Amino acid sequence: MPDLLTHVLLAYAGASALHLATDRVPARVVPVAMVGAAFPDVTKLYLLVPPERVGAWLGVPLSYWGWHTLGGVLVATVGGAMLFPAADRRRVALALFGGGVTHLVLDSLIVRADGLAPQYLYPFTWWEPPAGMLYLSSDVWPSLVALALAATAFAARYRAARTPTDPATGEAPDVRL
Amino acid sequence: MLACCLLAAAGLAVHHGATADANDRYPEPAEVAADYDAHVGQQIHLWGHVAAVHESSLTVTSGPLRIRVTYPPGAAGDRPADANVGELVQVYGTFEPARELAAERVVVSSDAGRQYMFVVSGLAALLTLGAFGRHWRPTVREPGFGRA
Repeated sequence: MPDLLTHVLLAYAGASALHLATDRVPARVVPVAMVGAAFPDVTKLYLLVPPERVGAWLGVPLSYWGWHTLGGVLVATVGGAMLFPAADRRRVALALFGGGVTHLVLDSLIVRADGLAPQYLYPFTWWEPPAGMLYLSSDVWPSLVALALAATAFAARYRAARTPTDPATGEAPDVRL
Repeated sequence: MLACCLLAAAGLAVHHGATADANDRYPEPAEVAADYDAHVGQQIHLWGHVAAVHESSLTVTSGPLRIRVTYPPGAAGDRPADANVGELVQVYGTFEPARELAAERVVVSSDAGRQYMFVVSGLAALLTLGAFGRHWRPTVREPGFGRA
């Protein structure tokens, strides 16, 4: 992965841009996209609870990397959306899925010594696409780019809040982060 | 539905655990360590840590496997001088006799960069929770979240 900050800041910037562009993306959906973008890194659970130990205890082989895949994102999308009010479920699901998929796309751009990205399309295929070879997880610059984009999005939302869209009521758009 | 998704998540973890090795194009470091000669000539994408830096090679450990990484002409990526002991390294190469891995490409992740990655990733988790908490509240009657 690029660091988690890059993932959630880019999700914030992208979802905020959609929020500013259309009424169909309310502000409350923006942090949901950030959660979606963070989800695949739930695999980092291995640092706290090694899958080998859990697997040995359960008597089955176990790998958390199955969640860092398109299949994992789909399960998280459906399961996650069920936790929200019915009226919000569709847009929540789209935000979770969009965030998760951008995470996988960004991770497939990482430099790999063999030039191949991992099997992120599991369980549909074990295909390893060519890696983007753009950055390392430990590089600092991707998070600086993401920070610049997120700051721009925040400024645009702040500006929009100071320019009421409805002159009759003077009601400002929702700009909570 | 939620229970089905939890079951599906558990199923992914078990299925991936049971089938990933068979679908991996490279051998596991532990397999190589157990019978090195059987893997001579095979390629690997090895993730390990730098155990020693030499003038024109690196010693890398990955689990039980300890191997000298050599740089034939044309090897791409980082050179031995770019690595420090303890740093994470990726090596793509071919196993040679006498426990040598002839590198085609070596990629070193600096320790400072990895520390930065862990710190800002923690910050990102807090930022995400904070942003989420401004718009959504946990609900008890129907376990989940409602608009704040």
